[in-house]
Amino acid sequence: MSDMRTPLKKVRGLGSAHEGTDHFWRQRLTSVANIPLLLFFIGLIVYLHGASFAETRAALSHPLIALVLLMVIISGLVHMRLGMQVIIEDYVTSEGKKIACLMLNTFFTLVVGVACVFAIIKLSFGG
Amino acid sequence: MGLLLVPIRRMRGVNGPLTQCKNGTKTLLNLPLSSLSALPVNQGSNGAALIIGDAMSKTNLHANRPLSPHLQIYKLIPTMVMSIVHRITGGALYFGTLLVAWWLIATATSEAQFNFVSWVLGSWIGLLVLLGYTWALLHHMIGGIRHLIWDTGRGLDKHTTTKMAWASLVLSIALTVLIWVAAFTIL
Repeated sequence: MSDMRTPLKKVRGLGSAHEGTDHFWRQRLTSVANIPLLLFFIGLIVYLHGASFAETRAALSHPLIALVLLMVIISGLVHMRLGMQVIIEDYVTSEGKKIACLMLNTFFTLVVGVACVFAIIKLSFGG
Repeated sequence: MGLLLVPIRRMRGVNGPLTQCKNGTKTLLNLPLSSLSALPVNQGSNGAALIIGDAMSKTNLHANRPLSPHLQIYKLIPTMVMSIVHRITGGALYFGTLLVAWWLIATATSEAQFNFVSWVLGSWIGLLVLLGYTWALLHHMIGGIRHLIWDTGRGLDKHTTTKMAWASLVLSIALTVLIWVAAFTIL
């Protein structure tokens, strides 16, 4: 059996979906990052349990906490968007609905992400 | 309009070569797969039977294709349940981010907003949701670590995966209890 693929296609290694193992890789990369990041997040929530408004603002506006919290948000949201994409692709078989769901998935992620990042930045700089 | 030749092997999902048709046999398109083997059909050299219909039957063919058994056929086993739970917890965590966003926005807005979120999350329903959220996060994380271990090619045999499935359940519940005890006692 002769191989119909061109040498360029083999070298690129992107396959029929044109993105290779990109999705898989990003999912793994963010999952590894999420382990320490979300353990930090759990620790932060436990630490802030019962804290007053002023104490909570002071903690969240601390540069180190704010920076790590931004990473928690970004890594977590990228991971969850990839995960939801797979769920949509598995269960939504109608092509039109699937595209709509995939768009909503990105919109939802962006809305949550922008809201969280804005809040953290406002707490840090805006007072 | 040409005749449609479909080897049975192909219908079962195993690729078999198309063989030549000898004569016009009856169409088998409306019969379930189990009855196919009992019927006299022409056998090709590769064991592929021939089915003949006209082009109109093509849709029929797709509609009557044998499907793999659905969920209720299978006995629930730990690995399967943990796989399903991993996806469900992932979905729950997805929408749970709304709570995180709400809490952060409220804290960045005003004391009244912060107090309102604290009141809602501190209520019985709020605490129950947060307890579930904690467990979902931990279970998904432990399930994810399981996947990372599998990615290295380790721990893939049947008995190990079953043990890992039970371990992820036990560990996630234990850690959830530990975190909540810490939140309500130490600090």
